[in-house]
Amino acid sequence: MTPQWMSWSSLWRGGLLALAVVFVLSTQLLFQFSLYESWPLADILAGWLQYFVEQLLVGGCIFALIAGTAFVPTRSRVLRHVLLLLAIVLGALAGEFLLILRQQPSLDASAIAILGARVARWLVVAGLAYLYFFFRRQAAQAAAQVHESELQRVELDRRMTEARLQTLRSQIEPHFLFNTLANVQELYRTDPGRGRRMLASFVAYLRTALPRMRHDETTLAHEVDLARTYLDVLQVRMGERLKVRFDVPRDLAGLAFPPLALSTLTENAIKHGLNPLPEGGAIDIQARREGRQLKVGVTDTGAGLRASGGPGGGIANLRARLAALYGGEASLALEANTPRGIRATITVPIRAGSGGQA
Amino acid sequence: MAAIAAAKAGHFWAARAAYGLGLGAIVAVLEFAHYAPLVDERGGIGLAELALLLPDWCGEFVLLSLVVGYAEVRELPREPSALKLGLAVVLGAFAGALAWYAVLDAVLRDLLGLGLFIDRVGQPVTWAGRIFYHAWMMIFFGGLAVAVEASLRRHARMLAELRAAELRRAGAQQRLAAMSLGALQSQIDPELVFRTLSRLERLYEDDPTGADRLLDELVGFLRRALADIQASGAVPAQPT
Repeated sequence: MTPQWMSWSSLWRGGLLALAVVFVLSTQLLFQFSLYESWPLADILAGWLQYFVEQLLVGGCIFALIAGTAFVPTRSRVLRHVLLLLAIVLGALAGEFLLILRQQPSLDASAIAILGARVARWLVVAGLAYLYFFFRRQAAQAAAQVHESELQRVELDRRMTEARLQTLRSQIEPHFLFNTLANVQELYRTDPGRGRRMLASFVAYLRTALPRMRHDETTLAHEVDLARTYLDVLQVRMGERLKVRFDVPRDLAGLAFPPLALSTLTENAIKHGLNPLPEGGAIDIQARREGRQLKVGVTDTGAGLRASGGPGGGIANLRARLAALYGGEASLALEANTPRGIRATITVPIRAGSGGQA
Repeated sequence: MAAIAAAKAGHFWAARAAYGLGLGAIVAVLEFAHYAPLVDERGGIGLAELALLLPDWCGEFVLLSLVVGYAEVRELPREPSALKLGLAVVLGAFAGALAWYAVLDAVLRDLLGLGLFIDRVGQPVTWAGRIFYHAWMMIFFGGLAVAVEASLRRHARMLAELRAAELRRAGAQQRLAAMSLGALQSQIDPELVFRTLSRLERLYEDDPTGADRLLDELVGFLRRALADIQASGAVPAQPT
């Protein structure tokens, strides 16, 4: 039935503090110079030891009673302070009473006055020592709470970053979804055959994309499949205006690759590169290994960087995603393609894909 | 500004002096209680002696308190280390005892002919004995008081830090909640879309008009959802 605010460690620290206070208190004897004139040093030291033991007895009584107040179940602060005061006074009274009784068996007025003076002194000493201990313990508790609160904040910040990433990832979906469906709808009215083909390609794309959408890493093969199905959907829409070429060596297929990164680049190449041009163009997707790095490039023969007015939000998001996944180890480079268009290259460190094929 | 700082500084030193005064008074009363029964047989000591004891201890403790105050001000805005505080207490105790004894000796005994408390008690005490005894009392009681004060300050600082940390945590929680709400709004459930589209594929075979209506609904839903996302600002608008 140990009360919750009193632990063994606080009892141990309190005892140590009481011992230190009693020890320093006992050195008062050594500071009385008149003693050195009339007594030999050995006697003074012996007297000091005895004085220390006596003070220890009184200090021990007070400490025991203070520790005992912890067992009184009360939530009232006033009552707690009254109890503390009582414990100090009663402890000092008991200890000093024992000491005086040893010296003189009967209590006279002078002995009572001495007792009173000593109890008053103990009240000040023990009161100050307890206040010191009390505030130190409170401060330590507050420090522990600060630590706990900071830990929670860091965890919240981490979840915040995660949530932001989730939002970035889901950004690609709704627009593509909406545009494609609007197209499907239109096609079904004008050319039901092409509309059906487009819908089928789109459902195939979703089937490939869905299981992997929420993961942090997937394989290059899967990402290439995704880009291929995505381009299939668009092929229906753009027909001869879109030419696609893939150059991905088989031995790279199993390597890890950030999800939807290739899709973002492909989407950008279509949206800002080929779409604005009436004659369309070609998209070339190639992957190669360079040392410990995997480089995947998307090259288009579209309108180019200048015409698209610099990289858009999709590119910024992709960079943020790469930074979140790989730190400084991954990069995304945009450069002008000759004679026309943009070459976008993603560089990531080589790692084996964990999930294999979906 | 300078006036305020000066007033604050003046306030600080006045508080320090008052603190020393109070501590000195407590010790003087304790000393009086200690001596009263001892000299009782020689005719007793009364309020006159207590009145003598008060300036004796109060003066010394004020000096000690000012020395400790100087140690604290020197370190501002940081807290002085325990070692520096202890050093200030020991130095202040000896310096205070010496200086105040000189003042008492020159003013009370020589100038006013009053005689010190120790003269009344009747014990022959050398000045070195007196200095060491007083220094010990000041180191002990002054040291305890300084320790209490330091722990009190540390406690107050920790509470302030705790409030700041709690505020930061609450801010992070709020941001996360806002973010999650935005993320939730921007998520068009891909499963739902996928299932609807699969159904659409089959429906176009059997019931093209019904399928057309369903597709109309889906496109309408997506249009509204997209408008929501862009309005919520969770996702920047993309050119389409």
